[in-house]
Amino acid sequence: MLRYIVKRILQMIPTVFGVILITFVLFNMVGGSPAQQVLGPHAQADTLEQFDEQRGFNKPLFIGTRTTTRAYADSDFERSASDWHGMKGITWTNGAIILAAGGEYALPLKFALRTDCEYELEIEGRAAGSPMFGTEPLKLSSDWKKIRLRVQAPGKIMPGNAPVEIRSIKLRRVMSNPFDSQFIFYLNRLVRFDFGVSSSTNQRVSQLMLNGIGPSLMLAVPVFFIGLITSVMLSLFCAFWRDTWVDRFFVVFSVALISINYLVWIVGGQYLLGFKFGWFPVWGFEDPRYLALPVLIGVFSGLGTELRFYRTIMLDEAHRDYVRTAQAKGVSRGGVLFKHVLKNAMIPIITNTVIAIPFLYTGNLLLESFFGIPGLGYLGINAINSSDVDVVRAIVLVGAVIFVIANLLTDICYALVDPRVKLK
Amino acid sequence: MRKFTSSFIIPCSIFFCLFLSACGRRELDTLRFKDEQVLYGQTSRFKGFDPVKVSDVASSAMICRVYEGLLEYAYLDRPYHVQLMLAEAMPDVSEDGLTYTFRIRKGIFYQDDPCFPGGKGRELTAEDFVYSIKRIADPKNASSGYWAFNGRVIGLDEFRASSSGAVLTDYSAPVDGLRALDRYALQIRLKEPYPQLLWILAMHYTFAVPREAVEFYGDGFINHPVGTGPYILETWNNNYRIEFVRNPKWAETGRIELYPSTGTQEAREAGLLNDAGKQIPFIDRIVQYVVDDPTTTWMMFLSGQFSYSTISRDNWSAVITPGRDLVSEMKEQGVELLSSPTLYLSYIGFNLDDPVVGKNKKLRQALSCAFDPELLVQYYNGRVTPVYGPLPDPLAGFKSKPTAYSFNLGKAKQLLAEAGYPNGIDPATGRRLELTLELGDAAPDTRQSVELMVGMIDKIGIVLKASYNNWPAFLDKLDRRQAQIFKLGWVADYPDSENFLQLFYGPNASPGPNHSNYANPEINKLYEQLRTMLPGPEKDGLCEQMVNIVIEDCPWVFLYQPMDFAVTHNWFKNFSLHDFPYTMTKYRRVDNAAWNEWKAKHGRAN
Repeated sequence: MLRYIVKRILQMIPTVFGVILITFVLFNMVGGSPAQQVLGPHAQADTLEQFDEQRGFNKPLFIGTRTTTRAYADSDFERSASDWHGMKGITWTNGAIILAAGGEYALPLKFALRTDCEYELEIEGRAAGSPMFGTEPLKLSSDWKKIRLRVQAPGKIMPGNAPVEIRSIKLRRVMSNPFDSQFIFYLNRLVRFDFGVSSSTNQRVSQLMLNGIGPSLMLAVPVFFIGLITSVMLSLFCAFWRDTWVDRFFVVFSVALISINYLVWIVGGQYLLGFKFGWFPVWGFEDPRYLALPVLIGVFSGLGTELRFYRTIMLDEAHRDYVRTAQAKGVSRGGVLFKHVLKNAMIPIITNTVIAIPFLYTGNLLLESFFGIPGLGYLGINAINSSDVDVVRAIVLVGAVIFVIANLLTDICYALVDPRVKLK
Repeated sequence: MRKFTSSFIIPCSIFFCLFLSACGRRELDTLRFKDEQVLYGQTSRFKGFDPVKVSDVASSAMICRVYEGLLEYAYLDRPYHVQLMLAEAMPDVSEDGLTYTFRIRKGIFYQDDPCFPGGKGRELTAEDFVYSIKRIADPKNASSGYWAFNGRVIGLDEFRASSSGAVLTDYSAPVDGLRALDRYALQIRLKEPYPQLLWILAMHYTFAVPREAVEFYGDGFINHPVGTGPYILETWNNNYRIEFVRNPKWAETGRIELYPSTGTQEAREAGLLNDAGKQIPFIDRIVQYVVDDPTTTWMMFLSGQFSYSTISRDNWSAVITPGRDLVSEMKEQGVELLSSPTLYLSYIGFNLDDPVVGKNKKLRQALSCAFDPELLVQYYNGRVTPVYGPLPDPLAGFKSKPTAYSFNLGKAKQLLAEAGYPNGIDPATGRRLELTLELGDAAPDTRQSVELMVGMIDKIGIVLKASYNNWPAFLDKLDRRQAQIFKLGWVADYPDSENFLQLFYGPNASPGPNHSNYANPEINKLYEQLRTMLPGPEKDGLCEQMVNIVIEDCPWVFLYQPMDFAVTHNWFKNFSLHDFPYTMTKYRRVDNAAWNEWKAKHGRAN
């Protein structure tokens, strides 16, 4: 048993690492620029760069020796002359800019480059003459080719006696330490249980999550347990009066419940029970009584699926041989159901229950946002809407860890409940 | 069988007990003492209380309850102007317009807070403003307000550069253009004339924060406001609720502020000057709830839990008659409707770097002629008014009448043919020309209005494809100049035409605010001239000139200017719409007698 648990815990490590990796990649790819969001529409390029610099957002993602700079956005002259548009001596044709012979062309930088590090310039172009970049020769030939050039400070492109055609230009800053990356930075923080600071609320993510977990559980736990007890009870009802009008009524009833959208329950409940009849508060989280309506709606909307599921399990068990034996012994119908069927149906019920537990932690997204319950679900949806990467990552990561642990607990529970299951 | 029933009944009865206990509508909150004036309202999610870091509307309103600056907007006067807040008098401005000297009021104290020695709030001095403005320039604060000072004040940019490293910023480093001459005198010296400075000083970025608090709370300062204002923060939960109470320091130090006694004729008629000369603030406590769903807000307003509300589009027809008036049952309850145009302009921008729309002025003009603003006005139930130029009402250069490139379908088709796309057919492919419109959100409201616009463009034969992004991804596309056409708006930072015209200034191109990447040497020259001018007919003439050039060049299709609507209950007094309402909570008043009367009459009637 102990060996089994240790083995499982060791197996968790790659799983959790995988989750860390995937969430990191995902949210870094889709997340847009946090700098622009924080600094607002007025911010200028150098301000944005300073922001990135301070928070490490301009480092390479995993590993690398090059990093972008906002001083010069990658230009690909496929569709237009982009930043070079309107500069003297520049013409744009067929996906390339042509620098007229004899001139001097400085890169249209948004701000001065740093003097304490090196940059790498990548130019794809061709030239008949012998162009220079500052004091260094640009090794372009009459065929299209890509060249890379290390520069300390940005010089000017001097085409010399023949024009230079350029298809694309990239400017990268050279990093001295290839492991100085965002991912290492992130892992480093995680090891110290530091989830970072929310960009939309400026609070520590750990604090936000601690604040949110209470309200979330206060809503999700009652919904879960009342829902579980009610549906198990009703399913026993169905099993007890199998194939009578009671059973049929509940089957039809649960199909009807499944068919009605969650939102209908929420909006309808809020409007009718809360606003029109005034039986419940419409919105808020001032004291536990404010939870009554969301809990009612939560239980009701989940009832259909659960009831059908447990009814099937109960009926499955009710056809077994041991049930016939018990009936033959003269055990009452109620006794059979409670003593024998319920006990044997525990395994699927436990599976279903324990698997659902990790989801309690993320709370109920819709209920929370419609009833103003300041839980984790609400926090999560707002974080997603405002691309608050740190918050989303933390919620997903903690959720994954809880899920993995819950899976282990399920297996242990099996062994405890069912003597046939042995853990090795 | 008995066992069966009992085990079923127990959870059920627990379940129903929970309901019964919850039954009956309750107040969200109860009064703490008799005749306490409490304002209940809705707010959006707020981001914190550090004046230099935060700039969204909800947070700004909260910052301005706790912190105060040198100047503020006058409440009831129009056109907008600034009045004194913590300054004793309007500044002495040197002849060349470069030096501003402010005298600061004596006897203004910070609220009591553990960050001060002995926990007692100290007196505000000129040094606090020097410190607060330096904080805007400190790159470690990532201030969204730095644009207002970038390149303006002597020595401030150097201060910024020197504090950009990893070492802690040295706030004792002197900045030539920003000095406290004595305990109560602040001098600001500029590099070039900057008449907008007075507007800037009325924005919360420059509001005075005590250095003690910033250093005491460190990173947590953003959530521990310590100010001189009429209210102090009591409790808050970012996702749910926030509560402010009256700042006891005002009574303790005998600080007296009065309700304004000047205003427009309309304000006088609306009874907004009835409290003229009385001591403010009236309200003892402000409680706001973070409610996202407009329908929920509306229900809470109707049930009397909120004192005021905006009107969402979904509820509009249930509340407002076609004649722009409240429906009678609302009037009977004493609900009042307020409306006012906002200094906001919604537009469709063309990326002038784009090879298709950027290089073809006739095509842009044709598209501009194809947009029918009246349809959008109808779509928004008349909550917006059409605009025909780049400036909203009432700024200088506002166009109240359609121009040569306003809606005209015949002209649109003709221009389109001249642009090389007869009937919308692209001769290069032989198919209909396809253009992509980038949008910053995918809310149902946006989708519906975009469908409407797609239909307008379809009439001239062009296919407009909508591409929905989330907001940061949208901004990213604009920054990288990857958007072909985009829908965007601009809210005035201050009521000056210059604030809108900067959106056409070449050097402000992406990632600056000129997302059309419009570059016209003539406009650039005019803008540079206008930027440093004091208000007057000469400046208005320049505005007019710029507006005409912009309309001809069509970097934008001008869509509409929204109206601001609000409803208030009859117990909520002194509420008037303002484009810069941040410091104005102190003027509001709650009439508890009227409220109780309303509760007795309508409390359960819904």
